Amino acid sequence: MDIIVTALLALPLVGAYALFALGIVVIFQASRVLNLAHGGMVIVPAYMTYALAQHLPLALSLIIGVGSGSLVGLLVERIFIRTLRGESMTTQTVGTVAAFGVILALIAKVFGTTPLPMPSVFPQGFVHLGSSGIKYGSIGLFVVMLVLAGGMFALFRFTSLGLAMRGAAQNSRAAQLMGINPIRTTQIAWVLGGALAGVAGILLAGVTDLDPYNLSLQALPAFVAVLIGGLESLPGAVLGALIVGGVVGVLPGLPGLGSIQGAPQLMLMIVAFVVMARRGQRLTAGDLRA
Amino acid sequence: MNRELRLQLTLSPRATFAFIVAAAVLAWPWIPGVPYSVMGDAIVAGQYAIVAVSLVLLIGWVGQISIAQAALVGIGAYSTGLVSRGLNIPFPGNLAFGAVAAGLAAGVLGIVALRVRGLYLAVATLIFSYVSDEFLFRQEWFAGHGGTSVITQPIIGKAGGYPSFDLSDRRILYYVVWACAAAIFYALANLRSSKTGRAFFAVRGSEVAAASLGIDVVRYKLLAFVLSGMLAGIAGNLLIVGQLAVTQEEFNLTTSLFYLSIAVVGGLSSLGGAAAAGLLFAGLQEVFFRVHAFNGLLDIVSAGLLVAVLLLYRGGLSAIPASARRRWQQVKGLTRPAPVDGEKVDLVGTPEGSRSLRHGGDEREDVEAPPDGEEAKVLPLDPQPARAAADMAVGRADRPEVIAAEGVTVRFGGLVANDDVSVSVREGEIVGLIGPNGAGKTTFFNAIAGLNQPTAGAVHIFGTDVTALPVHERAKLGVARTFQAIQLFGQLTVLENLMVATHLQNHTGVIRHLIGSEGSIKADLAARKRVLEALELIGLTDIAEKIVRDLPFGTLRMVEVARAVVTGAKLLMLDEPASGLDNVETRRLSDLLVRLRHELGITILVIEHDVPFVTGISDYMYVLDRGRLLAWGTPQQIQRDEEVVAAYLGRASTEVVPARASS
Repeated sequence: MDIIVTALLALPLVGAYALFALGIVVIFQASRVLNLAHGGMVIVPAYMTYALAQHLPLALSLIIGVGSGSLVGLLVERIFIRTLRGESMTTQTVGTVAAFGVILALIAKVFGTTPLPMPSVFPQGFVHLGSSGIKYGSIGLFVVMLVLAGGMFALFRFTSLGLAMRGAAQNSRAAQLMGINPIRTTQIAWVLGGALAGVAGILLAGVTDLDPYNLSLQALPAFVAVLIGGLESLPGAVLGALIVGGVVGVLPGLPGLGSIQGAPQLMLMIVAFVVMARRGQRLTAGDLRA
Repeated sequence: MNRELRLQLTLSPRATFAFIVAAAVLAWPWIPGVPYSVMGDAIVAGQYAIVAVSLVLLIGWVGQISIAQAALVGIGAYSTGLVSRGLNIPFPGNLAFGAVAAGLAAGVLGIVALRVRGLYLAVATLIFSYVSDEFLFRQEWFAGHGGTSVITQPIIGKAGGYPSFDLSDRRILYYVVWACAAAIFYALANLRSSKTGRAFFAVRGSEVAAASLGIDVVRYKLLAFVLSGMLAGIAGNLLIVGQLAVTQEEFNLTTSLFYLSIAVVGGLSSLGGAAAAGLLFAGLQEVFFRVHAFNGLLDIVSAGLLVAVLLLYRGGLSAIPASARRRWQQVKGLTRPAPVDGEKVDLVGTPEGSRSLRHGGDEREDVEAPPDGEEAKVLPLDPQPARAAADMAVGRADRPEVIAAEGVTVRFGGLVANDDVSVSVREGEIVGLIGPNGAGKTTFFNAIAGLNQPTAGAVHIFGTDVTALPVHERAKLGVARTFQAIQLFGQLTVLENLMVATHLQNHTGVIRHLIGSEGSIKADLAARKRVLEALELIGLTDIAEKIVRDLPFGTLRMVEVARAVVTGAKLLMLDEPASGLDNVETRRLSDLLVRLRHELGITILVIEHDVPFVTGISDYMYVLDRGRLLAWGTPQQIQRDEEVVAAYLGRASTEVVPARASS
């Protein structure tokens, strides 16, 4: 029973990681960069919603907050990614890190680094399970993830926009000849990625706390999820999130590990390094293609 | 350096200037009235400079990214605290512990992170930074209570005795920090111009090309990680020794980003830039601390500077002198060609197989030879005037086999790219492998070169079974290659590109490179001599000092052949060397290959699309079609082979013949 309860406690993490990971995959498909600014797209919507909710209805704040995630995505794409296109991968990566640094510094300056209480979108309270309980918000986050992930699959599988985006990701020039504007599809990918990150950030802050460092670093497990699931696959991203969320969320709750400070982070590193260590080091013909 | 030269140097204005600067650097702390806080800033600047060069080494030189530098600095600092308290080891003894601990940590990080090349490296280092902050630096045994590690006042020598130096005196500390920084700068400057430095640049430029020259790419990346970690550890040691205490907030992600800003603003490839950026950021820190209105804005400003340099002026501080000089010369009406502009350069090396070096399509498509009006023949298989001795083919069975590929099969999923291909190349031969587009030529070539793992079959080179050997190990057997999409190191000169190829002849180690030992310098001189000879042989002496990415495509092909020759290889493998070349260039290449065979006794395997080129130089030929061997024999036999003619004219022949016929 305790194990099940502990496992359920991982639900919000799995939900958030999956939403982050979906965004990372969609953005990678479009721009061929691993977006290390993803954490920035997580905290801006969360803080935006927090600030607006002081004055506006929560629903409206929520919509504007998610929109701000998309806006950050668009800006990062326009200012950094497009400018550095064609540079070395190292330079592009430094670019996304720089974007993250600016966002993080700005948020920390405006809102401070003390954890703030985030209003919960879902009703306060718990579903009681034996001696402990699980927040409605946690279940809500997981359900929202399932819905949005389903929506993403449907978008890419069944709509012409999804087809255009997949086409442009595969071969931008060929897509252009077919009348697809690759800049448009790329922007849409960033808008989607930013919105997904925003939703997850807002809901995750609702069940934990709102704190620029910890919340933005919650994007890290999602990168590991993507590493497990593959950069090309949406279902892979969700599956990876399930694994990473499970390990990071469940194991530290087990007796003995719980008392160690930083146990979730340690678990994350172990998972990440085990997954990475399974990769080969050999150069292959694939390395010739820059 | 002989005496006259030394005398000349001391008298030159430049040396006088250097002397004055050195004197000022040493003497200023003793000027009465210099505020104590300025000395503190100078100390901080030195620490920043050391961290910045640790990133210059890793990111700028080797192209590997790390966002965990603050964590490594922290490991250096906490380890110092640990041995100072626990084992009572004072400075400078504990410096070694700080450096080694951080170097080890970086090595462990590197071992794991380097398996996921490229994209994920940044993520791996980010996770490492996160875990250090949340876990390691909160362990009481390591980081002290509450992440605060305290050491006792460091004194070099016996307290009160003579000589003794009290490091809590900022003047003394200033000298110590900058002496460390100077030693590190000196060692890295040595390293940069050594075999190790060249290997670093090669890895940054193109990992595959580096491996093909015998460089163990993983080993050098790991070395860079360890060295970079050790430098960060030294900075951490100096930090705790200077402050007497460190806290865990000093080593979080924000600090790592701050360090990254310093390195990028400095220019990421130059040591001087890193020092300048260290001074700049130490100054900024002081200003933002002093001016009340600026409090808490330093992180924003440093991140903003990082962005500004990245997007607008990628050369950073290190590019300013050159830019200023050029602008000054423009003002004076003097123009200078070939600007190396801070605004235009990449942060690090050009990407692998960068666009500037590309010609035509990418590797996956075979690039067809340019249309050729004069020789528009239906079946261009006639021998050319530059034809080599045909009688080489007679009695070929008597010569030892250089390449023996037996039954090589390469499958990609369901696709059989090579099906049971057996090829034999014998000593002193030029062997051509031709085939229509999609015949599996490049796949086979990569199986020999080590970039494809055959599903079945075996490859022997010089009698050694290389089927499972990685690329750089094959190079050690005496194999060199060129690439269809040229893989030169775009940011280096022709001479430097060729110097990289002397890697396997140079047996000096990294310690010697760091201290700039005589052996290391002698080895460099020998390598240079060898390179100059090769340039002379191939007729490239004029362009030795030219940056590769500025050169025309035809020349780059010759440079790449020259680089392969410099390795001293006895077997040269050329992947479509004539693609993208015009008639004159192709003729020049044929002549060169024949000469290399005659004068240096090099065995050559050529994969080509350009059939006249191959028949013109080959002693023996193989024809691939749809992954299988279709025919083999002397060029004359091949030209008469009806199946070969059919393969080119009939079925899969959309490439070579129509292109020629239509022009």
